[in-house]
Amino acid sequence: MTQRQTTRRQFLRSTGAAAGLSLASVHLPALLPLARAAAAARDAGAGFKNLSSDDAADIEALCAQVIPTDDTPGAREAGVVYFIDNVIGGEFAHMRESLIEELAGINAMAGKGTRFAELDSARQVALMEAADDAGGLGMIVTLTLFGMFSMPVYGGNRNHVGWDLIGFDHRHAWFPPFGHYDAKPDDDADGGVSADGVSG
Amino acid sequence: MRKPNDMPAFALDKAVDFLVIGSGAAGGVLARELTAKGLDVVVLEQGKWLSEADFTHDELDVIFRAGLSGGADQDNTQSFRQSDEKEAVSVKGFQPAWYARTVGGSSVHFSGNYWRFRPLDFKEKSLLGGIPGTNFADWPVSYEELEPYYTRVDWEVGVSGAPGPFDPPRSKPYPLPPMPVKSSGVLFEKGARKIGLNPQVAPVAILSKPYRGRAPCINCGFCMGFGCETGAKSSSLSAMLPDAMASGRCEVRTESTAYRIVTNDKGRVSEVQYFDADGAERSQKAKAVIVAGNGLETPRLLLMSESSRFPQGLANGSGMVGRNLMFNYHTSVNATFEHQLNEYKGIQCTRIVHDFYETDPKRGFYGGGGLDGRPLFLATPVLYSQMFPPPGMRRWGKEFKEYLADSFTRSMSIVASTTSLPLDSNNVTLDPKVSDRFGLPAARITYHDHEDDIAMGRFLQAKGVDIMHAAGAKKVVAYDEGPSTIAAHLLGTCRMGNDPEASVVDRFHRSHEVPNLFICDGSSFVTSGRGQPTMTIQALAFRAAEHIAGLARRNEI
Repeated sequence: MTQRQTTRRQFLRSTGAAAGLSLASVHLPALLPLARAAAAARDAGAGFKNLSSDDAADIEALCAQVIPTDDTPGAREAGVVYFIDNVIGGEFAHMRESLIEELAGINAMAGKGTRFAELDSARQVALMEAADDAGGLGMIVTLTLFGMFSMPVYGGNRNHVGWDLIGFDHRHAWFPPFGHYDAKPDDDADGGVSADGVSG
Repeated sequence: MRKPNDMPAFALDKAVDFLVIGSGAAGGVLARELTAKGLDVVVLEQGKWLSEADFTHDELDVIFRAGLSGGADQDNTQSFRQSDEKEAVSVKGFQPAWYARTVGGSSVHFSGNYWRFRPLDFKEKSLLGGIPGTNFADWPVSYEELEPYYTRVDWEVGVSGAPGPFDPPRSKPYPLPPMPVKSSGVLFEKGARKIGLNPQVAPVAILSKPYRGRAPCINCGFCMGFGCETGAKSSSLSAMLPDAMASGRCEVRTESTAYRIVTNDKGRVSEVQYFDADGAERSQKAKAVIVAGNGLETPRLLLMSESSRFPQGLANGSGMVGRNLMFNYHTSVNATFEHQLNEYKGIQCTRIVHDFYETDPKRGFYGGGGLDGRPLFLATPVLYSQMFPPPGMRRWGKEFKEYLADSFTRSMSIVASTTSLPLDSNNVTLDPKVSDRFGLPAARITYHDHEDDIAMGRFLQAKGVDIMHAAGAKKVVAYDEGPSTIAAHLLGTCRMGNDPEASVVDRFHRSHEVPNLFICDGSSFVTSGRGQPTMTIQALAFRAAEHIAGLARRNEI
């Protein structure tokens, strides 16, 4: 498989990771350590186990549009492409074929000889909208969300960036009050709940 | 509890007092109660013995790979269709009848909502009259007869709660105080009161305090669909089987899948054939058998046990085995609020509304139900991300990311649970074409909710919308929900009754046709109740065990 032999450097170049890093360093200092960590993880990685570099580049670009990076980390920083590479050879192997088919469909829409990762962002979004409307984006979206919010042991949700994004704090025990409304249950005269839970 | 090291090992060729098929909500109670009376029990459980130490918060494994239902790699195919005019579709992933294949059964992954039935549930046909085109009937048991056993469930299984305005009479108070109210409970209560309803504490089979040697709930949030890591959820695994195992009279044989109940030339059950953990065929002799699979697997096993003497399936002279499947119809409402609720902490339900429990002829259709406030699928991050965003929004992109970031901690749901009418056309049969990993015919589910069930669901959904608005929700979303295609409540498929022509078991769960065959689980239900069946399954099991142990003692089996 010649695609397998594509170097890590080629993959990084094609995903625009270097450009993303410099942009982040200018505009979003808070994001820099995370972006650096993601890039370092990628540098340290031995490539992909189940995806060809071209497919990995396209999938990372797609994931990065599903959960984009703005003032908070997105799928790129969560390492979602590594999650996907990981699980399609294991826990979600049954999704592999559909994923690759979906990707082929998207690349076919990109035009002959053009791959999704090579398009500019606006064209990527337009193409994804068309693919979505044709029912050809479900696998990418599902796997991106799996990789964004699942336990980091699967390879995604690095540094808990997915959980931090939505405000999920993973602990094994909580004590009340849990939220705003049960902390102050008596702030509304119409809805009194006494502390022992017996409503009056 | 962990699998004990010193479990008895009963000989296959020596008839054990009782063979119980299934270790779930009913099987756990039966094993505990029969062994307490000095009887020997072998329990066949198709799942593994996972203990509290094995349970995790891993959504990909537990929810998306069916980790408590045998796992995604295990072929437990079921098939589904909406009417017998349609070809059933084989379903391998999310199964239409969603239940847990593990020691403790679905009581391991349930949310623990423990509503008693009310007196009317047992005699609604007499109260309302018959409903044409249905098998609507009274139960052969009354609430008054069952009340002492509901109380035993409260006190022995472990239920936390507080009395509500419409509760049926109870002989003892709840043994445990309510669980701490969540923000969903506070908002639900506030909204319900504003529109003139009477919200009450949700009774749950989850420990609010240490109880009977068990630790209380630590509000970890991974409750619905997950196994409880502290054993605070009152599953059969945590609450019933420890006593059964301590008796020294109970063997739970795991990864053992029953496929045929064998009868002798006297028409009595003699043994049960099953596949063991290695897929080898085994057979256990027994003096009596109690089938406690669930409303899907129980009728499937009886239908697979047909013989020349029982050509329609074992104990199926009435033709009622597999019929009258009832799911409890459900609808839901989602809403977001200004401040954080953090519904990922704590149990599912802390407040309910039972104002619409009774059938009201003015509504123009049969049915009743309950409402509750809870996270539903918004409790855990992956599941939340897979739920549909507000209408018109794509499931990707900047807007979707903002929605995810904003709404996870600020959302809640209201769930409506309703009655389901018993119908011939809703049933479990053996699929003539599809088989499972053992080569056994798959359970074929044919199901379409009765129009009254759906009407009731929609009625309650509209009330849920009103409650959300009254509670001050910023945005309320209620999807138009169609007929059920997946269910966790599997009821009615071997109904109780006094008439052998119209029911499968008698009022004490003995099959009308085979004297040493008993059936006790959700399949025994005559009507569906209002949407939370497990407490009644267990009350029936306590009552059945007492009666069956008496029969054994008097040598009347």
